[in-house]
Amino acid sequence: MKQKIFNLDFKNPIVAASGPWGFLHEWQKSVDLNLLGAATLKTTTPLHRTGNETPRMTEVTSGLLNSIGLANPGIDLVIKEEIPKLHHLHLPIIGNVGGFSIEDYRHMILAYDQCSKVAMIEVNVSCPNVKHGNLNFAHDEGLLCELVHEIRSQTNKALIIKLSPNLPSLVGLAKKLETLKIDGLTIANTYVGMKIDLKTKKPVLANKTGGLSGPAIKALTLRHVFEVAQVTNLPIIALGGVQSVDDVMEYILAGASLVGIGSSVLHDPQTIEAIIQSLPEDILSYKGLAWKS
Amino acid sequence: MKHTALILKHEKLEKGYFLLTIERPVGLHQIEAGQFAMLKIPHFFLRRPLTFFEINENSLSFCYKPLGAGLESLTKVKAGHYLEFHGPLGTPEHFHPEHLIFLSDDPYAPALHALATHYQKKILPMNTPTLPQDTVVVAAIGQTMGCGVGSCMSCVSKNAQGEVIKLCQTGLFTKKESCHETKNF
Repeated sequence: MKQKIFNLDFKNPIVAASGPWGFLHEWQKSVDLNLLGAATLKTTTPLHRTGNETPRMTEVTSGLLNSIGLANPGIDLVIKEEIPKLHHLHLPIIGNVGGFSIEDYRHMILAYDQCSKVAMIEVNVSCPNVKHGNLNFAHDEGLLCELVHEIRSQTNKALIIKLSPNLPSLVGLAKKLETLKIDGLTIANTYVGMKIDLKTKKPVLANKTGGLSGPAIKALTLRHVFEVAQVTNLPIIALGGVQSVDDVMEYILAGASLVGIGSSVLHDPQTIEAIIQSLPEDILSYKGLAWKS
Repeated sequence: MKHTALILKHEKLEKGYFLLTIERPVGLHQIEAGQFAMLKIPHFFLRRPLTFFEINENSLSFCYKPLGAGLESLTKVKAGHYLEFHGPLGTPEHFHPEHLIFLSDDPYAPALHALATHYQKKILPMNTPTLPQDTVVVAAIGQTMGCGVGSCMSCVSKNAQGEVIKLCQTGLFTKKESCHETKNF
């Protein structure tokens, strides 16, 4: 199940997804992080962000809604204080960058380009929980292409774009991005959703809406991966609702090269170890079989 | 960190509270007063944080009031079954016992009980008048919690200094002179 993609060695296809894993070291006592194929840091922005008002997480059927809003200490503190805590990890670390302007992203890409512990960079253009800009990149093909054109030259590290699933189809966008020399795609971020409290008759989240994740979204994201994998040669990190080795297998069959695990760590931190220990050694031989003749 | 424990008793208390007593798992040696656990609840995706209420050599307990669907579901779990949880979590602040008081209007004060017991203090009502100067007031504040380890950033609140803190990392406690009681979900 080893593979070399993005010029990096992955011992298995399982990736800790950006978000619930924070800056990874928080889970050191609960999870053997070195079992992972790779791990992604929480989305980081140029400056510190406290995020949205609370409540900013709530449970829904088969998953959760979050409206954290990219809370993070800012890139300088992440590089100075968070990343040094990962010295014991021997796996590709994926930096995840967020921003509200092309200049924000340029700043972030340059910072992670200089950080030796970060092996590759995931560009989050699809956070549904921040106003004024972030999701606009994912939903405006012209703006996203302009962003990619500007940041591609900032680093020789692998650059992957994390797409929003909140579009009718990702096929056209994926084909366009492939022409801009990005290295891969993460499919996908969370789905915009909401929950209303029957007692107060108001939205539960202070932000009113949030991003839906967990097993509720797996079938939806699987469709996006299945469609995109057929039209692009870009490696895909599939992300959405994985709770079992069967879920991983479905994403591999749909054409993913790597499979992210996010919210499931909140349900059971040991999920990741159980999945990795159950992966068939020949799992990658199943890649894309759902549509290959 | 992950434990599975036999449920010894699950009793209904007065005013809608429940007391869940479990066998202390072998290997769970050290628990500080004020620490909590993330309990796996049947049929729910997120775990629920409950502070250790009583910490004994052979048993542990959690006291809770089921204000939401998750803890309502927990009330159905019977003695003789097993409870899975992660913990102990949180790093409670260490206080100087002098000039220390605990405030809560909650009849059982589940989040404060173990700490107050540890410091041999009574828990006073929230509207306790005329606190002496330099009194350290401890009350519990609640917020929906996702991870319990400080990574997901859902359970943030502001402390008395206006700084944003993660409640799961401070053990659900803060020094604050007008606090909300813990809100289970």
